[in-house]
Amino acid sequence: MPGNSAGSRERRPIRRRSLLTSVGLVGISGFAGCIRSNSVEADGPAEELIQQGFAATDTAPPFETTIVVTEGTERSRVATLLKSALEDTGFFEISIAEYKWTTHLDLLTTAADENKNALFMVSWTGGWDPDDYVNMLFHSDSHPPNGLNINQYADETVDEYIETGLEETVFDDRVEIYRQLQERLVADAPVSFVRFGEVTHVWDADAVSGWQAYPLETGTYNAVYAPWADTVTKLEGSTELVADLGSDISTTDPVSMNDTASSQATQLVYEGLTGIDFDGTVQPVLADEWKRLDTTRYRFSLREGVQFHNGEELTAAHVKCSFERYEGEPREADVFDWYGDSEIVDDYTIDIDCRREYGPFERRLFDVPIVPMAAIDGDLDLESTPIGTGPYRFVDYQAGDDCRLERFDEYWFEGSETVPATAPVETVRLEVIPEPASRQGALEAGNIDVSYGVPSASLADLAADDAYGVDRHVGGGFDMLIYPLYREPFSSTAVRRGCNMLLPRERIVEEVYNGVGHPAYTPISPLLEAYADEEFQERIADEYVRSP
Amino acid sequence: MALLEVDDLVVQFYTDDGVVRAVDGISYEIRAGETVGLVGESGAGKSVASLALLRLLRSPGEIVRGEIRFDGRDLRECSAAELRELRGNDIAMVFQDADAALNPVYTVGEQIAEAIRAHEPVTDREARERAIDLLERVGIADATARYSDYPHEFSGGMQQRAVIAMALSCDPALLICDEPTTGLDVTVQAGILELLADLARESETAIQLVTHDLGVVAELCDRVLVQYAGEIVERAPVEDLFYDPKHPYTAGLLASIPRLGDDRPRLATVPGTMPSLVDPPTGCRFHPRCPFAEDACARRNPSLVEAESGSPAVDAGPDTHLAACLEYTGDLVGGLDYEVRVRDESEDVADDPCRERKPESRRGDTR
Amino acid sequence: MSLGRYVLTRIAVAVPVLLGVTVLTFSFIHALPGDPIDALVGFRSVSPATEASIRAEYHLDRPIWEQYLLWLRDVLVLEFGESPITGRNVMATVGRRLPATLALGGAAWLLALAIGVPTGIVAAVRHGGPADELSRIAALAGIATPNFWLGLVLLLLFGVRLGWVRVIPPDAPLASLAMAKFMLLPTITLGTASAAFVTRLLRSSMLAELDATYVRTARAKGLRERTVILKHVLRNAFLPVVTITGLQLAFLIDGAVVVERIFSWPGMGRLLVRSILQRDYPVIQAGVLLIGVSIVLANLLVDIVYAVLDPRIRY
Repeated sequence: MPGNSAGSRERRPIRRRSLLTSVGLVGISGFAGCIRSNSVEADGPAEELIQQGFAATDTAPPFETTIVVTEGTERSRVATLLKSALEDTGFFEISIAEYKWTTHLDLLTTAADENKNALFMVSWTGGWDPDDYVNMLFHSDSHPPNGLNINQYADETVDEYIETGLEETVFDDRVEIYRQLQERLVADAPVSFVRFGEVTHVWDADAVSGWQAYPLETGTYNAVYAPWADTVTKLEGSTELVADLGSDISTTDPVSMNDTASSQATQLVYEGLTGIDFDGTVQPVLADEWKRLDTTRYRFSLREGVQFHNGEELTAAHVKCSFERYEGEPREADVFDWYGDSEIVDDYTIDIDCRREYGPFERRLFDVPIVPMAAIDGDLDLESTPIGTGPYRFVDYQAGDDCRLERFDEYWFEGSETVPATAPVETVRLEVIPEPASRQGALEAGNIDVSYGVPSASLADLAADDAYGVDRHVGGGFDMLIYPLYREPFSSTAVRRGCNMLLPRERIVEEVYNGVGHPAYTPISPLLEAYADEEFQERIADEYVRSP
Repeated sequence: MALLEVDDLVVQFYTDDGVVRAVDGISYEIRAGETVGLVGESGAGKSVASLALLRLLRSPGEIVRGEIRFDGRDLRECSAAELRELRGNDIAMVFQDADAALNPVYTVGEQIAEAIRAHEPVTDREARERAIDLLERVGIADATARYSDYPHEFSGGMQQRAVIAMALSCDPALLICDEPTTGLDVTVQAGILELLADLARESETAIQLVTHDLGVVAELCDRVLVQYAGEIVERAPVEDLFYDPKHPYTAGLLASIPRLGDDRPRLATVPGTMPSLVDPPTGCRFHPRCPFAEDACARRNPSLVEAESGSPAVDAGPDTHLAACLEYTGDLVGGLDYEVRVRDESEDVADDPCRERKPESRRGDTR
Repeated sequence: MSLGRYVLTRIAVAVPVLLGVTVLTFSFIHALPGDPIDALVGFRSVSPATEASIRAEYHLDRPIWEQYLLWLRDVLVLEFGESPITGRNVMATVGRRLPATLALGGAAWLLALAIGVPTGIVAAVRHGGPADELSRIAALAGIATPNFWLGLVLLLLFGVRLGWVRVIPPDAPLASLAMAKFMLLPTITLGTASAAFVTRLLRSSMLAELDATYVRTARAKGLRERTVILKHVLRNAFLPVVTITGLQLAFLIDGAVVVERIFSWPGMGRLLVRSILQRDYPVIQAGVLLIGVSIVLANLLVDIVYAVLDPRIRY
């Protein structure tokens, strides 16, 4: 997401140790026994917290408010479950409002300024770095329109964690910062984390083998052929793989892509210096090795003999210019959040200077494709003619229509024990199928070979059927409930903490999403195991969410 | 054998309120070339009786009994195809409210030509030419140009003329005119009447003229049938009817005709209203409105008999004066007490079609 | 007035309506909060150079009426500029989707008439009978069935279970047999409610017309019942249907969004949904304008058809 760079330039490093020790203060102890207030009886620690908050903010129960969700059966069922959980306390009277996505987004970005009395259900998608899950949502510089800190949460400690975490390059220290940050967020509860999403891929087992579910949606088609991730898909009885996209491709230029479908469709076309494999490990792609020269300077050695689809050969100049091409473009922040300068050492060696110590550096390179000089010079329009170094190239591409990818025979990979030098799939057709039920239909009718978007309700049946292969993996996104911090009684931490304890997370996952996804207590997806492994999640849940 | 013989015709409507006998056992005949009037107030069942002739009644109306013989064929026995052959060809109809009778979305000419094409093996061109001739014949000026006009481009009188032209298109043996002048301006009415009069005089076409306007009857008809509450209550040659109405209802109708130059206060209509046909009065259906009604009238339904002799109507010739009143079977104690006064010709305005024949009820005096 | 003159009058009246549509579409971007430039770049930060070129492209430095006129001049030659999101020519994007939507909407409309007219006639002529009852139940079901549900059921039955048609569009041009075959199900899905609606509307208007005096006249002339119904009654009874048909087109385009989703149909609905999500305002603007113009033109056509059917309209 763009726009988070401006403020962070001025952020100062903080004294980390004092910060870490101060966290313990926010714990709130419950009152023993039942307390009566305005005829609503508090039953259990969650309700006691709510009651305490109501008393502190002088709010008389029942408090009337609204849960706002986007249109959709699943969302509205989640809202119903949340409503009944909160209403059971007697402290709330809740209505549900459903809006179209764009209206919902407009409501979100103006909610705090207009003092809207509403709780918003929102999904957030992050990536391979912990910063993705917190910066845009909780940093005080990310209030709309700069970011999506919808309820204008502002906490200096949180801001400082976010800033130091971003600039920490020592892995263990980073992990510690983000764990502390998460605990602080859960304790303060500006939002409640409800459910982590899951990617679920289903394929025709007779036709497709070797398919794996990439944990992030944008990387779905790495499964076709990604030698750097030791991944290859084979086809039986055909050379064309037909798969699906959830919506139209809007653009194929990496500097302006802002939607999932476009990223998915170009995944096999573009390559960056690094890649992140299915386990989340950084792997060399166009760079064959690199080393850190000092805290902010890295030296990359490029793979030799790499050809672009237009015949150009990859050199260090491509890398430098591809980075600098982002300046002033919609996705400027992808690069300029960290990029300071680069120096071409020789054709296959480049030194990259970060403008600050930057934790996610190697991972960010995965999302910055190296493009040919023709595009950099302006002779080639990547928006309609995507050209990269990837194993497939676009053919007959018409914007918005289904697209066809063809194997690039000059691809640099020379073969390994597990992955052949030539991709078994000759062509990939991506059919745009927005409706999940139609995706399942197309798969069952044999019109497509693989889908990443069949309805969750059908997964169990498909998994039990030998004709289909199913792969599931926790994804990079979560659903959350955003509290209107700017209004009483939600200005009270006690009320939010109490609500957070009441949310029926397991029921939502099981009943609404048919077991797809996991209950979420913290923001960072367990996909990033070190930052949010099960033990950590359990500890946070026990301490802050589950009733003793 | 008469051209048209209607025998004991009963037409019922099935409504939510009950069964309505709009036509209750009427019998009459029309001879070739003659003009017969069917008169009565609105709701007497005149139009229903006329529609029944061509079996044009729409549900919930239904002929439940009786015979309609045209040229000896019982129309009730005809197949749909035979009936279609007859309609427009042998028996044609002129409806009231010509504006509604014409289809607004087709040209007047086309609607006439269409009738010709339906019955005769003509080319479109011939049909068109004949339609133009017909328009001319009914007095439409510039008929060729008017052929392509739509009904809404015609005045009310011209529309009625067009409807008559349409009815005449196949030279029918019987023309049924249902209130042909109702709703038209007086001057326009006169024109239409003149047209019909010419027609009655010049052609061999028999006409059944349905109207509530006795003036029109006087102008055009040879014989008259008076219908009341679904029954025929009097039948007579036109002169007899006007000079010597035998049924109190007829007398009432005659008395209610407005006249020019008559400034005496008078009843515009026969007092009272037409009885409900769902539940008609017992005995004589007219008795609740009849100034001469006696106890017997409420008990016995008088049958149609020769007014002179009281003998049953079945044996009577078509020109015999018939009436349905207990008076003529000798069952009334008090008798009918009205007289017909024919005023001097000079009292009336010259062009009043009924000037010589106006009877006047003295009914008011007897009360 | 002759039909020719009437048509000219209607066209003359349609011109200001079309201008009104352009004014509304033009105002749409200017009515959004903030600088129109924000809308034109999809509320994203752009380089000053890009901003300047967009300002020039949309003449944002001129007075508003001049902006409108300059914009209108471009619109008249179907020049909508480039999308800030996709960087593609807006007209090319919209121009490829519009035929798909019009084809689907047109097919559904024809289906609605092809089913609705005969059914409506039979129901009216045999009214009260079993055919009428059957059509009434079918029409009720047709109107009450959400097209989302109907589409999925058809898709699962004929596409998945029976395998008679593809679930997703074939890789074929719009005007091809394969595509025509594929379009069957979306057409039925989209057209069913309209067919039911036409059936009921035509039935009731036929019933009203059947009682009209001119029908009795036609029968009294000895015309065949077929002629009476098809020539005399139908033409009159069709007038309300024609009127509603113009409005139905807007309804069909609305329904197309749902149907396009189920049948993965690359139409305007999907394009607009994508554009609205991404705030691709020039595309939304062009799409809305072209749909608006299509509706105005369709209604102009309806007016003309109405006048052809009913001479009274021509005053």
